[in-house]
Amino acid sequence: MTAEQLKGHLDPLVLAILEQGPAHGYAIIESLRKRSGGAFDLPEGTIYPALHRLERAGTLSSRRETVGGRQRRVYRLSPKGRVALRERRTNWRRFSAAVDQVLRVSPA
Amino acid sequence: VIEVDGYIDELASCLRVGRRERARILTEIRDHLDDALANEESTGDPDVHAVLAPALRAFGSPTALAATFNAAAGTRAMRRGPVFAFSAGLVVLAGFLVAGITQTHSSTPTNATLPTQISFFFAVLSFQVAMVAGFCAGSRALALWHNPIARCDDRRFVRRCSNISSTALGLAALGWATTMGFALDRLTDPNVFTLVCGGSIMVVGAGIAIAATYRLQVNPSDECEDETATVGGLFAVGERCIGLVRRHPVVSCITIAGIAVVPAMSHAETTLSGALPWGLVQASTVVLGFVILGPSLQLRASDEMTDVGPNMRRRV
Repeated sequence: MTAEQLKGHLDPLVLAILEQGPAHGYAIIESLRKRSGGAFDLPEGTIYPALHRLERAGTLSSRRETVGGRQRRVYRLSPKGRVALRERRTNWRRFSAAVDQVLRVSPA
Repeated sequence: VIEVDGYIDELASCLRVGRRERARILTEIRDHLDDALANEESTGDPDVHAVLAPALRAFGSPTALAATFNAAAGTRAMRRGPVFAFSAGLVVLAGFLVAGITQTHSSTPTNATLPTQISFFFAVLSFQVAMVAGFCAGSRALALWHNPIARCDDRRFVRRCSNISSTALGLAALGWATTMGFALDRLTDPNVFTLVCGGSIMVVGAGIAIAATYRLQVNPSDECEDETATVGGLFAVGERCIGLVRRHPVVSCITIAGIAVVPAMSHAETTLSGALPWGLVQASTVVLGFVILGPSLQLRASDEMTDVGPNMRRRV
């Protein structure tokens, strides 16, 4: 799946990854790859600008922390981010159910 | 590792963001590449170059990566333009009031001299241009408030309007300061201290606004056409007004010119026959300003632009 196909869905995916717990950029990308079974092998160039954007929007917060003996910028979900994720989940379920209904109908 | 250093250096040269953000981006990218390397080493791959090549490829070209960050930084800078212009407008107005309300005026009004009238007229005219340009900048910035990345056309437009607004404000401040100088003779007991203070506040305030808006780095060359502008709700009221002016330019221009005649005549402080010429000059100037500045402020479509709806202009 390309970054183009994921456009518009990247933010909730990142938020969902961070719902599991704080993580740094590399771990987020790895987590996305693993949890999607390798389908979301996103270029790193799209993830970092998205993380910065989400932080500016207040849905994430970040700070430098020591992870595995090295200093890393670790991102965590903010309360605003949890609300945003809940909304995006509800919208996605509604949207995917509607698309599914349309696609399921086979021509007579 | 040479490849990483080269990539980071190239990215650094392409980034046009604040110093702190630049440092953060570069550190984060380097950290990521370190992690990729450490991860591959732990799985037993000894070839550093073989590990780094795909990791660097995954980031894309430094130019493309920098463009994404630049566009976001440029959008934030774009939003500061109207704020600077508006704040400077308030400072100039405050300076004007400080100088004006502290003076004792003669009980028998005297006619203003021609130089006073001319300088005051140009100051008012410049202030009006500043307000219109500031409104155009503010209206577009508000319409794009929730958009993390604005199109380069919009960023360029807001900066242009902010520059026009702050420059016109500077001219207005100079005009008013000159008027105050001319008005000294007409005041019975001029408070020179507040006159100087008010004049200085106006000129310094406008000067800071000019310097600040011209320094704005909106990065208009970093094209991000994939992000479409979203306009809606209360934030788009200004854009709708501008759309209305663009659709009915003649009616709008005549209406504004008609309204502008009144303050011009009252400011002239002379008899009706003395004030009428100023009113007519003001009305003509509004029309002339609309013709000259209209395309720059997108109040009327230029030959090479076509209007395809609010905030969705395309070059043809």
